[in-house]
Amino acid sequence: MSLNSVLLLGAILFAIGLYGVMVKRNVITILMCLELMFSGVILSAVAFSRYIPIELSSESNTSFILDGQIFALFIMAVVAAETTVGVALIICVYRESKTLFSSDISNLQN
Amino acid sequence: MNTELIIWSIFGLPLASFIIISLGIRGFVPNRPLLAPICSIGTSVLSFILSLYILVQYSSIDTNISSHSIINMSGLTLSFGILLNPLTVVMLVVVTVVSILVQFYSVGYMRKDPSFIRYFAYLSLFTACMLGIVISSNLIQLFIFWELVGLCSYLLIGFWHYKPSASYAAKKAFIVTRIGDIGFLIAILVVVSVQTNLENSNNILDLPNLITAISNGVFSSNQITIISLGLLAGAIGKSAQFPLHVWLPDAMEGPTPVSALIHAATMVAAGVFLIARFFPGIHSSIPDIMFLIACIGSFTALISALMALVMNDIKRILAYSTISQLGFMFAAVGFGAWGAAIFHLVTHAFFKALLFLLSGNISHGIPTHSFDLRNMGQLRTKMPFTFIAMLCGACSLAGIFPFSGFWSKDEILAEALSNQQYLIFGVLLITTFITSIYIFRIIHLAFLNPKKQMKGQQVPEKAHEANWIMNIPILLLSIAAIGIGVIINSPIDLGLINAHMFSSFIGAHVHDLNIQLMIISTIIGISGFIITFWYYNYPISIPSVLKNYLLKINNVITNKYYIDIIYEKYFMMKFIYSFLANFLHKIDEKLIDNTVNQIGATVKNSSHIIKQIQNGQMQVYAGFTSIGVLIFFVMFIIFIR
Amino acid sequence: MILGTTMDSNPVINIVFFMLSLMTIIVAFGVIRSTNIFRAALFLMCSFITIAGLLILLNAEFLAAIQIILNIGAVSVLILFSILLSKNVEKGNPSNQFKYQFLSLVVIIPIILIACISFIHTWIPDTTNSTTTIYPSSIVEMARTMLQRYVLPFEIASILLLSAMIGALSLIRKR
Repeated sequence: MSLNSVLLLGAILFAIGLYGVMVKRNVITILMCLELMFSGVILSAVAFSRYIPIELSSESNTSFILDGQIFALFIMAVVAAETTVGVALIICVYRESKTLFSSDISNLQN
Repeated sequence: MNTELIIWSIFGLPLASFIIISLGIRGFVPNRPLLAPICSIGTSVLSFILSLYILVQYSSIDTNISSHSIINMSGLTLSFGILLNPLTVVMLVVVTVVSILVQFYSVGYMRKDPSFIRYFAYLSLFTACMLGIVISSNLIQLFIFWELVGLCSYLLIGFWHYKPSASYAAKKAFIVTRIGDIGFLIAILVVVSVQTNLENSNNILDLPNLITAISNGVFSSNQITIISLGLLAGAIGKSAQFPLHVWLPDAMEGPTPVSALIHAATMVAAGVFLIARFFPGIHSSIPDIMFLIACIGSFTALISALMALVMNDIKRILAYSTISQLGFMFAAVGFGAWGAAIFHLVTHAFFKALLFLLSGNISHGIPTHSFDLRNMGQLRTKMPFTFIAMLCGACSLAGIFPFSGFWSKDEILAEALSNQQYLIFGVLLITTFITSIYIFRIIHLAFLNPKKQMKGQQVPEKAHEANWIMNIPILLLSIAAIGIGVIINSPIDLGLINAHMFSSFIGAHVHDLNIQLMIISTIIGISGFIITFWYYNYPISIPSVLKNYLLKINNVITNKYYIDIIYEKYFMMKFIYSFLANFLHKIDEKLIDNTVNQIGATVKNSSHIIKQIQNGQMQVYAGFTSIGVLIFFVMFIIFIR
Repeated sequence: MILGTTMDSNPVINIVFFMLSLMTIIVAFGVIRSTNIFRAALFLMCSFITIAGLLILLNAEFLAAIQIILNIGAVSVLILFSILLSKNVEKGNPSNQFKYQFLSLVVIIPIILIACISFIHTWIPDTTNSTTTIYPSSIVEMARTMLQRYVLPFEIASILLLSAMIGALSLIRKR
């Protein structure tokens, strides 16, 4: 287990998610694939904080700034918000056009 | 009080009235149209009072008003300022007075028009722009207002734009005056080109500096010729002199008060004003051009007086008469008597406004509402007030002692004599005679009971006087037509009134009293009246040979010397339409259009390829966005690392 | 010694990491390959669980707990709920035509390639051998970091969540 292996895993997850976002027709699946992409990013961020920690030395004790983990936490918050709004949007679109397939809702202005 | 502020408010008040009427009254209270004349007349009256204040206090106020630079470019400064001299003050008073009276008259004349408010907005703008011309100190500032006056005349001549003849006349007036304005523009460009090469910081676009520069030899003689010819062309276009006189008779399509305003104080006076503003200072450098001006003026005076003789439309007769009188002024400026020209401009403003308003009165009063002399006759008993006022105006125009036109016309003639311009003097004297004939012809045909009627003349059974709103301005103008000449510029001391007050005020040359000439010109004016009276009451039999000859001449004059036809048929149709426009059309079609079309077709064809991407599918958009990010990422790896 | 290629000394951790990675990739493929959308959502939940495991391996216990509570507990439920809109759950997860797959491969293959290249030739600069540095508890460190250094973004994130909630509610409100 090394930094590079975790980053590779993150990249693969990201790529799979991206493939899903671009290829799947169901908007719910697209949302799920977005989650996969975010997961890849979270993994990378945490891995950086794990392997390249920032030491903050003072006289009494040594503390670490876990920037990567904080970053991951914020990503999670954003993901939660994004999912909430996304699902709400899906429901709205479904009410309008009675479909969940992205190829059928290419005309949002009507 | 601050003089500059006063002058700017003289100009700004009618402008403010235009804005208030067009935006405020037209926008918010369109159902109360009487607010518009209240606003415009009120501001004009304020302007008039301020102008009068300037006139009275002129000797004690500071006339040196510095101009404000608006745009600064390297070597060229555009400044707006006020050129205050006696000429300015006189014009301010005349313009405001005439516009007040015309607006007042319009309240009665245009009362039933649906576009009442728009009409007063235009009138205010017209007045404001003319005042702008009068106060301008800068050539470009002058040009701006000059063009705005042209625009206003376009709007007002074409006021009844639903009439094809009105829109045609408006177009004609605008285009013909534009032809002269090209000359004006060329003159400005020459001045600008010299200014940019000039080292000292004197802005020669300012009129006083320009005149000083010309007399100091800053310009070469060719440049001076071009500048003065260009300004002359502008003035000729505006003042409807030969050969650009064709627009003025057609401008009669506008409402009659507008004609009065255009002919008396605003539009056509601008040309004479420009000439009188510019040329007296430089006349010694350009003697040939001054002679040219005199020739143009006297020639125009003669031919247009002849045209006025044969017309049947009362407004057209007056229009040709205006051209003729403006010719007098041009001739006067041409032989150096610009003071006499301005004096004639002032008196002419009053009596011509009077005559035009009266023609409106007549048309308003008779049942057919036409201006055709053939539909009038015997109006003396039905419209006595109008008749008497008309007589005042006519005597003034014919130059009969002691009406105001007599004094100014006499002054021009005397100046011509004293400058040894005998040919021009003769032409002007003949013109005076013809003038007297045509104006009394109107009186005979419209008001008296001619035994010899014109072909197809129908005497109206019913006619009535106009209401008091229309009569008050006429009364005031009649008084002015009778008395203004002797009051402002009497040749001898009259106790309260000093001799030559006007001439000495504007600083012009004062000539000696010429009693013989006065008697001669009055006799000529009265003889016109007698001849007309005799001709219409005791018809003479003319020998048939002479009659045929006269009919031919009559034919030529009735067709306006074929000038309109030459302009339209040969110049417009043959040269511009068939040759020039066709050529340009070919260039446009083959070269420019084709190029543009090819570019368009190329873009269209290539966009066929690109538009496949823009199919509205968000996943495709996401894909291309990712590709873009990826490209940046790869570049980052390659170049930044 | 290059930091990026440093292997953890403990072979058990290596084995667990490898297993979890494999599982994550497999369930991620499950999300995009299964035609049944309900099953895809279940695969997604599995991937959340494996990622939580990976987070624990990376000394981010707090984040792992959050992952389980938030993603598996809330987000997945939301997604499962929206799946109820699908008319045909059995065949509710189709793919687009080949054009899109080609386009996505154009993007994805470079990403994987770059990741693989960097896996072999890393450019991350060598720092001190910090793999051995053990910090006592990531939760304590994280709390200190979050509530001292990043307290303002933390509050802003809470406002973001609130506004997202209100926005979602106003979006789906029946008019």
